[in-house]
Amino acid sequence: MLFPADFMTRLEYLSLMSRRVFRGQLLAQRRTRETGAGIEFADHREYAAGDDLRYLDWNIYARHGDLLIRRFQEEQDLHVYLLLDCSRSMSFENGSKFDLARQVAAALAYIALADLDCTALFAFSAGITARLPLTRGREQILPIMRFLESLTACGSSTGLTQGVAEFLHLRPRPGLVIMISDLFDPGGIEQPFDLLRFRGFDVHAIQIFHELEARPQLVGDAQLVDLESGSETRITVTEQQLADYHQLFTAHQTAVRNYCRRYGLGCTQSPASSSFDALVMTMMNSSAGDQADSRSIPLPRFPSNSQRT
Amino acid sequence: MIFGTPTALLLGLIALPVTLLYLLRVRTRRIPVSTDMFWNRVFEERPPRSLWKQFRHLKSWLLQILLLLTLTLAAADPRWNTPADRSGFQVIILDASASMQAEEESGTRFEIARAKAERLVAGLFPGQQLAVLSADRETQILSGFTDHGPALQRVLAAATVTDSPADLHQAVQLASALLQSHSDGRILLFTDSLTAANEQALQEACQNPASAPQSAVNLDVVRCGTSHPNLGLTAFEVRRAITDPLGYEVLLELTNAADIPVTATVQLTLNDVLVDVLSLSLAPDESSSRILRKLSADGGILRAQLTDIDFRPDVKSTFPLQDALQADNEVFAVLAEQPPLKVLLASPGNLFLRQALLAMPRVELHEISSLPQSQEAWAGHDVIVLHQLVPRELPPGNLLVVDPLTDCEFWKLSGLVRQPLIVEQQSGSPLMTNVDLTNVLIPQAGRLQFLQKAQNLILTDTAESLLSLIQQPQHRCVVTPLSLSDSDLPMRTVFPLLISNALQWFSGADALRTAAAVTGSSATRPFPADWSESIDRVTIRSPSGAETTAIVSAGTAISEPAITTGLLRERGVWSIIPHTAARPRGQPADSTPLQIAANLTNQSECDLRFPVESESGTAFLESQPNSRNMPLWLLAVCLATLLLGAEWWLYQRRLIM
Repeated sequence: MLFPADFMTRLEYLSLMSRRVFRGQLLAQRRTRETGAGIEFADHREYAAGDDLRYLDWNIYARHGDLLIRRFQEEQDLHVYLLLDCSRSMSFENGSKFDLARQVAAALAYIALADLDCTALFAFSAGITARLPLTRGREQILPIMRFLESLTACGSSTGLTQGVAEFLHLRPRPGLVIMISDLFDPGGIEQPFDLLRFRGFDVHAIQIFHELEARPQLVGDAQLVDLESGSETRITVTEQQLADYHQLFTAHQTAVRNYCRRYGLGCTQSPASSSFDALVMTMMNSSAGDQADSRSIPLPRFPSNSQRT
Repeated sequence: MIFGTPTALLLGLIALPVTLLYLLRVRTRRIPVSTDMFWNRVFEERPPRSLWKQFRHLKSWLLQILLLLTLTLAAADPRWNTPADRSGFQVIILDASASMQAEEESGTRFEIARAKAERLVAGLFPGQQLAVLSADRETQILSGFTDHGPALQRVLAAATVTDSPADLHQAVQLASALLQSHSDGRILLFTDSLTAANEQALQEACQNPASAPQSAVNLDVVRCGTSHPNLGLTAFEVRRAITDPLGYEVLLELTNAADIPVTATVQLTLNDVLVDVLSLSLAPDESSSRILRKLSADGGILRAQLTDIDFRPDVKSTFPLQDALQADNEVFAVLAEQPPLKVLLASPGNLFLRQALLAMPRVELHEISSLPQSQEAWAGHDVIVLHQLVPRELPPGNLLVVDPLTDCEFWKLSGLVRQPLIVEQQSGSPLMTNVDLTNVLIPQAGRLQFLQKAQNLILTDTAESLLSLIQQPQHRCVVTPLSLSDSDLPMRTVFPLLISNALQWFSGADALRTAAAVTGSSATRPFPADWSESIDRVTIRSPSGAETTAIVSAGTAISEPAITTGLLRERGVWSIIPHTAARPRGQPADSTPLQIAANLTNQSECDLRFPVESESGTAFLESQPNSRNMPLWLLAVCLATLLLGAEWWLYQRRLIM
């Protein structure tokens, strides 16, 4: 059962824990990075034709003769977008990865809804396959859970770039994008995450992997069948090649962490054997240590660069 | 390198299907993976391959092929031998003579020879056949041609050394005869010493076209042992003294077969009672003979033993060399007993004859002055001396008749011979030993006309016999017509000599001089007179106690009953124990056992020095596998085991598939 009977109890507990951790920083009271009609100065930018002259900084112009527009940080509700990977790779080993991904998505959605934020869910593989529009209110958790239960990991290949591109094509308002995936995209993660960053989204990556993906128990002659592409490869695996595989896998994990650290993105890597609440608690506990960060990241403030392996 | 089983190399063809199996694509497991991008990067340096590149398990294939090759090599039984050593038929001759008992550092020479022969057997090729001969005085075939190594090893283990001298020429001839029908025969003679001349003679015996007309037999002499000094008894005889029936004479000869002087002591015992002790010093290569005269009426076992042998007596700083051979340090002889001789003298009275008989040792004289009325009165006497009194029917037994006055069944008196002149005397007869009647004054003598066949020992110019010998089944009769009163014969020294010769001949003195047998030969002894005629078989007991049974052959018209032993290969005193058909074998016999002494009295066996230090044949043996050296096939098996272990370890470590 994807959502057991005590699932709601555990979600409520996580919600309370998130309030204790982030006391006074409730959702909907957080500022977004969106500049607009706020009253708190954010920064300057070059004047362009058509800008409202009311925001022209005349003092700068008087002193230096430069035309700069003052920008203000706008206070508005945080939009949390949960992007869930539904490719076939998530069905590896009876779909344990996909189950954990859906449970984590439900937990994060509940926490967001409990903090009066808007939450939307997008299922993607090579593109958006299903979506749940923005919704608000704690009572919306049940439709979200039903939506998650209806999802299957039967999409095509993992296409992070295509999924993100279609997500952005919907012109969502900037907010927090939580991508839950195994990130096994041959095209890499840089391009889709760059797209999100460039469009002003805060990104948090949750990478879920299976233990057999990290350390496959595979020695000897074998015929590998790619779950996504269906391609078959005859190989003879030795201990040395197993070590090479593990080295490549570790390098991939490290590359994900390094990318997120480099651009201030949140990153959580967890094996599929973990429980969703332990994963979320770990994310919150580790993010509490980053309270002193100067980054203005909207709530929910998920831990960054936390890894549970 | 050659192979004992070359056909086993065909097992190497298994490498072809093994290689083919490695090349063939096998049905593999289908394993789903979430993505193959990591695997593709792992194998990106080894893209899909050609046929040759299907060898993904190259290490495993190499190990398997190497394992197969080592097992094939082991099955082929590789040897280091050269092709010249692969004679199909070989004959091993083990010198089992007494000199092979000489002690070396690693055992006796015979043990060394046997160890070398066992090495030869251990290197036996399949199909190569060996025969084993044991050479002493008579060559024995211990094993015919066979290629069964364990059987040959058992034969060699059971081979024993003897106390007899060797006749290697006979052994080589027998081996050549065995190899006569084989073209590539080889004889391996394991011996201790062989002179160059003898070796050349043996080589010629091998190449003798008469013995092996269509084959070329090679002879390899493998010498076993090193040179040693040795002192040995090379002659030992005993006999009763001719002049003194109670005495006996011992002939003793020692030979110093060494290049250095030696001192030793000889102890002579009779029935384990010390008789004499001699201290002798011999120069290098010196042989010394001694004749000892002793007195004893008792018979028994006479033994001479060498003790306190000390080589290099003049060099005290060096450790004295040891006498290497014990077989020639002890010799035996059987001294016959001298029983009393019962003599009955029937004479009207002659003091000379009576005193001459009384002067003879062992003689128990009984006298009668007239002829007895019954024949029973003659019984119970060994010799009957008739002087002038001659019955018409002579009593059976040994008779010495002097000056007969009446006729009898053997002769008839026909007058007298006046002034006989002796012209011929049979000096070769034992009755004529030291007897010469030429100067004896004989005025007249009776003329005897013999009715039975008689041997004339002394003839006159008129062909009259003055001493005759008549031998009939019931009688042995010596008769002389010389008158003791008319001639001066009683006054001459020849008279007691003549009486003594007659008595010794009657008492069988020849048997008392029976020589000791030489080991390795058989011995023939006349059927003892005191043995019952019902004895039909005898038990021959060796000095070590081994017993064999022999059948007694009856005498024929031209030969007397005799007992002939087999080959006496053991030195010491052999016993021939009589048995009758009615008496079980285990019960003691009434008759006295006959004893025969056998000695190693051989100078060539005594000499333990090597005349020529030649090593022919030994190089061949060096290439033979030793029981202490591991054969090549076993090495190959060990290597295969190591490879199997390595393959297992590599597989467990997933270094190979």
